[in-house]
Amino acid sequence: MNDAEHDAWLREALRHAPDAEALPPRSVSEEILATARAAAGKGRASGSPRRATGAASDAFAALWAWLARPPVAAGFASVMAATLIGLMWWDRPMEDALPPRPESAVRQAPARATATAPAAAAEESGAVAPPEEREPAKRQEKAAPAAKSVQARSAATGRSPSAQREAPARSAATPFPASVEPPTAGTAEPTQPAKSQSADEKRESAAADSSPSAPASPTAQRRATLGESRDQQAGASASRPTLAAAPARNEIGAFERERAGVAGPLAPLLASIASAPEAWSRAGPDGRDVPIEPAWRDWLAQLDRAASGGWRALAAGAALPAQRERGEATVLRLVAPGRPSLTVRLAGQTARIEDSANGERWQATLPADAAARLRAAAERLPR
Amino acid sequence: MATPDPSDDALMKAYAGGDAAAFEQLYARHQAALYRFVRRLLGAALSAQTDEVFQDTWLRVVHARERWQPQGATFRTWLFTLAHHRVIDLLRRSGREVSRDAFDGADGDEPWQPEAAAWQHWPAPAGAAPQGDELAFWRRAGEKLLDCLEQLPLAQRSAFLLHHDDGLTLDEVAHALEVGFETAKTRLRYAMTKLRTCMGAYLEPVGR
Repeated sequence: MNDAEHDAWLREALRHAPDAEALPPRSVSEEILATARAAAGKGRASGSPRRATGAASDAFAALWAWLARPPVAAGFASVMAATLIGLMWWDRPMEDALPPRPESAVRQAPARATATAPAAAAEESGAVAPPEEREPAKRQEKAAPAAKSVQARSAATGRSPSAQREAPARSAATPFPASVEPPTAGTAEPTQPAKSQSADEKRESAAADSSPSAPASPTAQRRATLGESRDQQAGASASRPTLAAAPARNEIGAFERERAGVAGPLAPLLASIASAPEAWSRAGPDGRDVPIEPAWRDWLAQLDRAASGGWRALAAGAALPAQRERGEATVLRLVAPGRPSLTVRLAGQTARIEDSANGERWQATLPADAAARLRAAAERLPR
Repeated sequence: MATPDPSDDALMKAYAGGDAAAFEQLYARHQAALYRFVRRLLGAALSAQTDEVFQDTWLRVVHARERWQPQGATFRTWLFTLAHHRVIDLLRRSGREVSRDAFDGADGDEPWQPEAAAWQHWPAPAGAAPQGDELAFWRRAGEKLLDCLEQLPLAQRSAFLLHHDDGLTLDEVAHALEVGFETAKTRLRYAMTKLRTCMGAYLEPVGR
């Protein structure tokens, strides 16, 4: 006797149970069938319009059902989240994405601005920042609103953005001899550094809000160390009088400045001479350096005005345009301690500047009358 | 040559398209089994509610006609699932505790097995149309079996009825009860063992 036989008996017993032949009452069946017929009739009556739009609604329902499946929904949600996060952080510098530094870390790294300000100033004054400091022009444009917000905040507090910066940042931002006060007016006042300031100021204000006794996080310490090394790097370059403080330079910097609308190489040079005239001299006729006279400074200013922003950077390695070295060419070699010479040459209508410090070469074509006046003026200047 | 009867799924699809006759065919095909299933699941105490549950189940079929998709389950399985849900709802409304645990009612060990000798006196179940004493025996056995069924937890009762009365495969039983295959199998095993015990202990064998 096995289970299968027992089950067969149980099934047989079930088949002969008193309710085996039970059926629903006729009234119940009729009610169910009537309801079913009514529903079918209603469906048929509204069937045509429903079917007309049925294809679209069915497709939508199928799509919805597919999207509602957990794996699909989870995948879709992941993509949406990644897209959202990507948009939130789009083109934002990594440093801005990091948490604000505690004040102690700020102290350890004497003003993060000292590292960024020289680079920004370098851009402003004509040199090119180190590769890691360089940013595409697009970011400069995007950073402009940030600089504006800093200026607005400064206006609200009654202090200028430059005044709000720490002293080391100010001195390091000076693209000229470190012992000299930076130019205070006109072309020498850096405008681009404001953008790098904005992020730093945000961090510093956040650090000021936090407890001063809070220990520096490892990240902040690492960044502080990084900042120190950058400061050393920037400081080394700032000690030399150059058109820019950043150590690495190339021709790309000239193009970037040109694109960014920087007037040309003479503006920062003139500012540098104005702020530290004793640091600059010119090569005299006998090869000895002589202090640059105010008349030559005026002549350079006139040359810059005559070029009226028409300075064009010449690409690295490109052959210089033919410039006849005729007897009437005016050549002025400017030197400063610790930097290679900078040559200003005016021949015919063409003015050219060659900065040996960074290999940059600029050229501008002057109006004929202005060029003639400049050449005539140069004849009267001391040699 | 007679055309084969359309499948339940085809009929349901036709009804969803507005063919009332398709529903009548479906109803005729499944009304008896469904009514019996509901009645036996509810038991004697709630038999008065059989009509309500039965009607409610069919009305749900009517209302769900446009959303209905086979989705791997046959119409019959779906129909019994609907009825099972309605029975659970009713039992809960009536204040009865409904457990879906496969082992509900079991003592944790294998149920007691009846003596094999108790079954020796049962007639063979193969008879298509038993007569006389044999018929009377099976009628009494059927009555007793319904009593025994009422002693089973709902989960085991529904598994037994779906498999042995309505002929659903174990897969379909699992689907209808919305449990895994092994759970359905376990429920059925416990149900069978208890019923064998119940029937073996109480049914008076023929000839005694």
